[in-house]
Amino acid sequence: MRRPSAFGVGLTVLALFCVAALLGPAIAPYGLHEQVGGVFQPPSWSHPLGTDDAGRDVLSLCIGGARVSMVVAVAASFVAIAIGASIGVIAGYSGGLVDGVLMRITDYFLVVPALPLMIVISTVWGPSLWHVVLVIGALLWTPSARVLRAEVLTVRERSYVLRVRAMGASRTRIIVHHVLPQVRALIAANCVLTISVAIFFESALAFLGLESADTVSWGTMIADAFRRAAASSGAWWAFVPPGICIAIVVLACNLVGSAVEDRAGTRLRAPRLSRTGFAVADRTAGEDA
Amino acid sequence: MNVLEVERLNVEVAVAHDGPPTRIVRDASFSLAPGQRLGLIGESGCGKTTTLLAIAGLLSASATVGGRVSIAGVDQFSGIAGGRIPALARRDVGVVFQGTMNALNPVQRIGAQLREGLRAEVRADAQLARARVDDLLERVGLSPTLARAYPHELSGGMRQRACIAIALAGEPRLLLADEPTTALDTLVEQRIVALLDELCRELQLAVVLVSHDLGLAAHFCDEIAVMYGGRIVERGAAAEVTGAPHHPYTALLLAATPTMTSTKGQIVSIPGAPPDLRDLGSGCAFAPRCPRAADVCAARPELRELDAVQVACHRAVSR
Repeated sequence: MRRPSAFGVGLTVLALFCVAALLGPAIAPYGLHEQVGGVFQPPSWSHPLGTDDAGRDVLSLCIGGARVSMVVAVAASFVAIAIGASIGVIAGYSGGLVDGVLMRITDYFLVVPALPLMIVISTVWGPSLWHVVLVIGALLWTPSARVLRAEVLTVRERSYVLRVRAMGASRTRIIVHHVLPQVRALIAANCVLTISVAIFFESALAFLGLESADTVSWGTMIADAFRRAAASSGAWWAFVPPGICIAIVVLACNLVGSAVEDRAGTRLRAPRLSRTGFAVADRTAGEDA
Repeated sequence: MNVLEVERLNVEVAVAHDGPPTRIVRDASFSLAPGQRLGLIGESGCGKTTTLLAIAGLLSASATVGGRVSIAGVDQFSGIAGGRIPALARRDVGVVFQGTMNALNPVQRIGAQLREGLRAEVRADAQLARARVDDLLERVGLSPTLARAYPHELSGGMRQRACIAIALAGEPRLLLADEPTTALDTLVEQRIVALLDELCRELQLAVVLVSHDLGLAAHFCDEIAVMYGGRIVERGAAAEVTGAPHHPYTALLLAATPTMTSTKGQIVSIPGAPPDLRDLGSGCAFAPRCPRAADVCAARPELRELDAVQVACHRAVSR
């Protein structure tokens, strides 16, 4: 019963954060850009997580920042999975030259250090949330492409795929009806796992100031706190809450992702029925001895 | 008109990227009239499955196919890599593989997989398609309610029945069966064979059965072709080949088959190992293991008529 509970916990946490992201300002006690207290006020009853360098309520910022952080992470992960799954499935199913070319391209993207390249691209494109989404998506697809290609390689060799090919099914039909359904759990797992990486990169980019200055996300909260020396003035409440939010979401994504992967593994594992042939008494071996 | 004609079929596969291609099937020729059944028999690695896949057009792109295969009068390919079969001929072919879990898509219901095999004009009419699916399931001895079942909910024998139903869904004229009963226990095997027998008779299906079970092939097929080292070494009516084998390999293969009634404690085995297809030499491929090998065997024997069969052996004598 441990795995379902890990899955449940992860899913519940993610659901809570999604609700926060969706409702955002509606459930936050104060406005996002509203000065409601002094600079770096410690936690109190009216401000449970204190205030930041501009006198804004940290709890409200955490809730409001969830929207940007989650939306960016989820959207970026969808972009990454769309690219990764297409490339992985096509490469795995086609094999040969197509596979070789696509996997070499993947190799190049795999060895490119993602964060520096993201910094460069977002600098060139200018600060915008959608740029961040595209940049993260365009650089995080490689692991899923690899994983899916490997799985598709085994799926396409199964005899029902051969059988369907023998009946004259087109490549598209086989991929859509007989390959994708086999790997959809893997795609889901990869998607959730990519969210956790994406949220991390989003915060990193925001921290480096590559998100527009007026958006509030967990990354920009930490960046603001860092720039106004919150740590050295003892105002831990300005940067610890967004940090914990990031950690919790990453953890929840990993719980859900690996649970999905495990379950898919057991469900799709085909029983290997094989009958060993009759034993042949090897007379030559006996004579040699 | 013959349903299947195979003429000097050659299959070469590049095993390593740089190495020379290995010839898996050499000069295989046979033909089948409607309702006729051919058993391809031989050890693992003798080329029988490759022959079947070549006919079905299922070889990978790394394989080069030579010779001529025509199904229902439609020429299938001429030396094209992998061999693409024109869609028109596809519907005349049904295939049944060894019935493990992998023979069916584990995440699709049986009914959906059956519907997929139906001819387009039948599938277009939902009601007709449903009736046809029910009919197919009943034909193979399964309850129509199983159309809603997933493969893992069926037993091994039921799965194999479902596979047969799928193979028949497109109303083929030629059935290609690769070890269709190998994953089943003896009793279920018997029932599946009886079912296949009945269906093929009813539908006048031509069948190519690939098996290493001589007994099964002798029982099920009209004609048997014994393959060794990629070549057909003996071919003839099932009773002739298994009753009075002319090729020493066939004789040894028969002697190595245990029977229910045999009282011998030990089964005879053929000394040595199957040949390395990359290096067959110029002589008879079986000579190194053959008890009757002689000097003439250094030259490759061609298939020749002897009594009622065709045999590729210098030493085979008429009886």
